[in-house]
Amino acid sequence: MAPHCHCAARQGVTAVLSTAQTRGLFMLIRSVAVIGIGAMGAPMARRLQAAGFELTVCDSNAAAVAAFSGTGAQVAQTPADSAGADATLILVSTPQQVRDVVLGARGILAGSATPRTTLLVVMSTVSAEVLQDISRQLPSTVRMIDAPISGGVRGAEEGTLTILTGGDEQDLRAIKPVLDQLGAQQIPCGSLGDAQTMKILNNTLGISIAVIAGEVYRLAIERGLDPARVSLVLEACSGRNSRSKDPAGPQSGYAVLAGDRTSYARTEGIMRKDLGLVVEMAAKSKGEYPMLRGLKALVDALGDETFDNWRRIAESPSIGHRPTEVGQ
Amino acid sequence: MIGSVAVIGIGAMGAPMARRIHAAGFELIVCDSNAVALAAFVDAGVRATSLPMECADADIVLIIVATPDQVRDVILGEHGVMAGVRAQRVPILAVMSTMSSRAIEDLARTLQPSAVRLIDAPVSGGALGAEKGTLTIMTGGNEQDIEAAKPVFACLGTQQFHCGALGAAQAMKIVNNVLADANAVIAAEAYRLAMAQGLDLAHVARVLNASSGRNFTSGDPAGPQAIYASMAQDRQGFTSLLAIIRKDVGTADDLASRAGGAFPAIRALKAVCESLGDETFAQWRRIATAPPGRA
Repeated sequence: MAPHCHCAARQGVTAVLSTAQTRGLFMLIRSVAVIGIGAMGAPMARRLQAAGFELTVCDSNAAAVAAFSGTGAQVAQTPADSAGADATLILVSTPQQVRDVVLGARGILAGSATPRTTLLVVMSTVSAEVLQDISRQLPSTVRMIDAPISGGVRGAEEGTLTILTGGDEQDLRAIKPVLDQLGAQQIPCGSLGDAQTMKILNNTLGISIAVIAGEVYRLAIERGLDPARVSLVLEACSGRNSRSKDPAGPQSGYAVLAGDRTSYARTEGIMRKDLGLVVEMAAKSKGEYPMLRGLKALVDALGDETFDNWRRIAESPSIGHRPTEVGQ
Repeated sequence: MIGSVAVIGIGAMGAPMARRIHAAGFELIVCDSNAVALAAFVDAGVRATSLPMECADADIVLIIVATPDQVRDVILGEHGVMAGVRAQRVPILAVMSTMSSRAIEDLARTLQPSAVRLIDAPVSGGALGAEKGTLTIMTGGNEQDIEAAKPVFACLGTQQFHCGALGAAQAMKIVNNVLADANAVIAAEAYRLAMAQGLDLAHVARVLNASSGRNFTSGDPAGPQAIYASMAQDRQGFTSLLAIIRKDVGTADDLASRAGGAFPAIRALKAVCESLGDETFAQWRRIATAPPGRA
């Protein structure tokens, strides 16, 4: 593959460097397009703009992009119009949307009249297969990595997301200054798609924990136990999990998952999507996965009662004193 | 002041716990129906008996048997502790086995006419924690009795949590176990899938531990291999673990069925755990024997 270098004068230099080094040295990202300006994409785009990147935003929702008018950001009507950026962060919801954003009639490729080096960063959670399939259809100048995120809206606002990355090393090195603005923790997982696989597996466990801990905290509340105290004991025992980690108790975590009916419905939608991906992965793998299938069926059937449980946890009073830990 | 301690149930947990209590200088009496389990203690000069009633003279009796029925039996049975209790010398009975809060509350009601001081003190940390004295002990019951028991618990565990009235610690323990059981089962399926996709297990565990998938199998720097190796050392060990998991989840389901709210996940977990067997054992062994992680 040709070195990603726009400057002919540098060609001589690149000849003595390895291809990997060349790309790492010369692919300096100055302009970033963010496609999908939703709950996550909007605060991420704002952080990049604040850090001095030339920003282009793109979303089919006019209200979402309107928030960026007058901020100096360019607004692209379609992904094709954003195709000039050095890097494009893709933060749409579904695999089909990712496909359309890249390959569709008004997708990024359609906008690259003159092929130029650009790096596509897929931050949505989709299967590794979808990415690998899209990647096969890209010209050599268009690079792709996957960089799914976790940490929620707060993490997006505060730049404390955890970002898993998969792709060629030189591409990951090139995107690092951008990702540095979004999350302190970047974890390389392997080649293109591996970060997605990792993300899906993590989410599966996260969902299972949210659902089961949701019932367990509710049970504990029914028994008159203080949720923060329950968390403290879980942390000291084998039940420790991502929900018990918060020393203030599980209340705020469940308040995020089930702020109101609408946000709970969104949470359910994301959970079902992620579990759909893992069940699909399991169906193609050797071995049996009864718990994954059981979890999928369970989450497909969740509804009002789980919303009530989670609200009950979110609203449960914190007893206010530190849980008693005696003896050392 | 507690000077003498009886330990009833000298099994995988009870034996190392008794050894630590002995080493700490308490006067010890050990009790088990299995004479083989007692032999090493007899050799060490420890009083040993097969009859719980002979433990009634101790200041505190720790009960670490397998089932709720056994708990009832060692306390109330023909040769149970109560059969040996004299009015002027009433021990603290600490139930360290896991059982439902309802079962321990029933037990308390039965014991009420006597002056016996019943507390619940389930532990977490497994045989390894019992060996090293790093168990976590949850306590429920009268605070004075628990305070009195503290020096004994201190040689068993580094952390003690007082959870509330009698039965509260058992509820806490069940809550803990349900989460641990669910995580053990689902994390295994996730690790297996990760292996199928060519991902490195230690790396996967590190990522989980930093994210929403964090659970007790993801925290070990050496990766999840050692954890699954200890849970599925052989088919027999796996079978006993599965029995404990089913018991825990069954107890939680029972607790849930009498609580306000709906608990479909606990019900579903119960159904899944009942269906586990050879396939899951094979899966856990595969994780246990996966190559160690990259640095």
